[in-house]
Amino acid sequence: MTGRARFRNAAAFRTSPRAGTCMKRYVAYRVAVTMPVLLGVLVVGFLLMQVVPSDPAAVRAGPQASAEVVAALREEMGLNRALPMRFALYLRQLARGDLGRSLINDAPVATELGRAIGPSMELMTACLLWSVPVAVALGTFAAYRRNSVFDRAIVMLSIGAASVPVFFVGLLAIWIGGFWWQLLPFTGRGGPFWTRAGLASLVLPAFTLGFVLLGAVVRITRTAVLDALSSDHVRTARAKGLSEWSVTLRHALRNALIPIVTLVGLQIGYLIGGAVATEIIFSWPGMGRLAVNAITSSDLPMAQGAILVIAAAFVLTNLAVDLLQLLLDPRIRR
Amino acid sequence: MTPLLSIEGLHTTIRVPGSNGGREHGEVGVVDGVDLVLDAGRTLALVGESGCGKSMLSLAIMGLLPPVARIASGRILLDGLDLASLPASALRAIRGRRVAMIFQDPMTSLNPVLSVGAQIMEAIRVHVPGLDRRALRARAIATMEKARIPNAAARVDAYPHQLSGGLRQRVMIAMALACGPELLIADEPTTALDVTVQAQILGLLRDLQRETGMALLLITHDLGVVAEMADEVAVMYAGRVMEQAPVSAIFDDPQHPYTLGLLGCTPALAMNAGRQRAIAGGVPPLASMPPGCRFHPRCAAALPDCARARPMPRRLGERHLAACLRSPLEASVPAARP
Repeated sequence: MTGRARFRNAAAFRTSPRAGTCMKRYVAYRVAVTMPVLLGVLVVGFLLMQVVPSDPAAVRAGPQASAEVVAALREEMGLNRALPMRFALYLRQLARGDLGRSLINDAPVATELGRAIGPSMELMTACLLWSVPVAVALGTFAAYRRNSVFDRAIVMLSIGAASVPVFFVGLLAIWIGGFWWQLLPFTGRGGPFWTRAGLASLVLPAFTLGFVLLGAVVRITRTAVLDALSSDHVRTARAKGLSEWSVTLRHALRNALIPIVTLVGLQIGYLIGGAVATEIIFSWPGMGRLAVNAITSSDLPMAQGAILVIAAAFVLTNLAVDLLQLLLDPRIRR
Repeated sequence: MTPLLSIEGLHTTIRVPGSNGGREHGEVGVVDGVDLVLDAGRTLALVGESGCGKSMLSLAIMGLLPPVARIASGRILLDGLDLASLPASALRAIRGRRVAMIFQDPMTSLNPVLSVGAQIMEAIRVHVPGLDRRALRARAIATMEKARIPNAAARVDAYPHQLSGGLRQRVMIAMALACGPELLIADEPTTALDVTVQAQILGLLRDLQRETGMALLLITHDLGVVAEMADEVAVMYAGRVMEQAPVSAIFDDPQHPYTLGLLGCTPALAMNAGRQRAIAGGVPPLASMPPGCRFHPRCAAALPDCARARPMPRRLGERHLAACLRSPLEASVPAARP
């Protein structure tokens, strides 16, 4: 294409009345590029498990098994075949929805993972549902009353929240909420969240995990809202005669949501790490605890499955964040 | 008849960090004792170099001074009502309804994530409560049509990035006119636009002024725009008004050396008078303003007395004031230092 034609095309694209098709194309593109990433996750997860200095056959056979039994088991499990061959077999197995069986208790990995996904999502959702609104509200209020006592207190709180490790918050929560006040259960899950016991058991873990997120989101919100408040279009909004509060909410916060959503999306990666610690402290039957238990007991198929699910969750979250940006920012929507 | 806008002895200051770098703050004056008068339906152009306090003055009228700045003394009378002493809530009720403002850069002055219609509707809703969505929308479209936005009914849902610079400035104008203000402040409304679009926007402002009878305070450094638009002109330098006169007097019979210098800087106007000249030197920094007349270090016609006392405005005609010891100027006064 000549340079001139390209310019002409660009202009046509910009002024296209069928803007909706561009957006659909973007969504399709964004979903499509997720596929190679997921494939990459598969490859890396598979290879990681190959380099772990642990013999799956030995784990399955148990500590008392003789060398011949282990060797026979290796042959039976296909561990003597070449690496690409084994990866191909693994893929074929995956395509059938089969993630293998646990080396420890022979339970299907998919079933175990399926059992852990629910509680994990419950914990994650509860954590996001309380911490993000609270953090955004605090950050916005700090920006609205910048340099006041409230602002300083909120900034101190957020630095504190971001600096304290999650296990410490968890222990503190157990100590205060569980021992001291004896209000809330702190071991295990009492049931699904719609039951009373389930909801009660969710409070402390969700509080602990949300605390990790709180500090970072408060600070990005404060910065982003302050930034937006000093922009030209906010001056225009003030010139219309809007109150400072509605200028802050309708104009500054609305625009600040774009960087906030990006940050929260990235933080969800850290949150998965935080969830591992939280689930262990509170004996929460989720993915994180499952993964750690599988790794410490050398249950490779289980660990591989858990890693796959966690990585896929991360990739899908990023996809969701990007699609959410489309709703928030008309400039990428075209 | 009382004028629509009358500014009396306005001083604004901004806070600057103290010289010791500690917590103590000093204040420096930006607008230093400005008196201006604007009658209903007229256009007053405020001219001067960057940093002379034009924008600060306009923001002071709107009550939109940045947090570091404040009005130290003086009155801003809108129809007899002193805006400088109004509480914030009362000022908000006036802002956008009786006094509206458009800004220099239409690219950044509109909120990128809200449709232009929503932004215009918001301007109406603040001051005209009780309209339902449909009525608001109809009014927004009507306002856009008034600002000569072609195909307004379709563009009401457009986002700012989908519009050209000229259209965005028209949206800004529509937003400003939505509540029928008596005074429109236009802060360099055409500086960021293409030359051809500039002419269209100026023409639009003039037409709208004729239709609605609003007064226009036009802030600019472009003397071409002044010649095109203004009834009256105030020339500002370093926070003070140097000369104020009807537009014809400013161009035909300037009575302040600074005005002469400005005219000498304008290419088309300087063409006949020989070479285009710049005024030597620059605007002095706020913190170290020279004593006496603030222009005297750069003035080609300065006398020893100019450094001693601030020259008070002298009345040279019915509406012609110049703050210069040498005015009325004799013909031999040079426009700029050689």
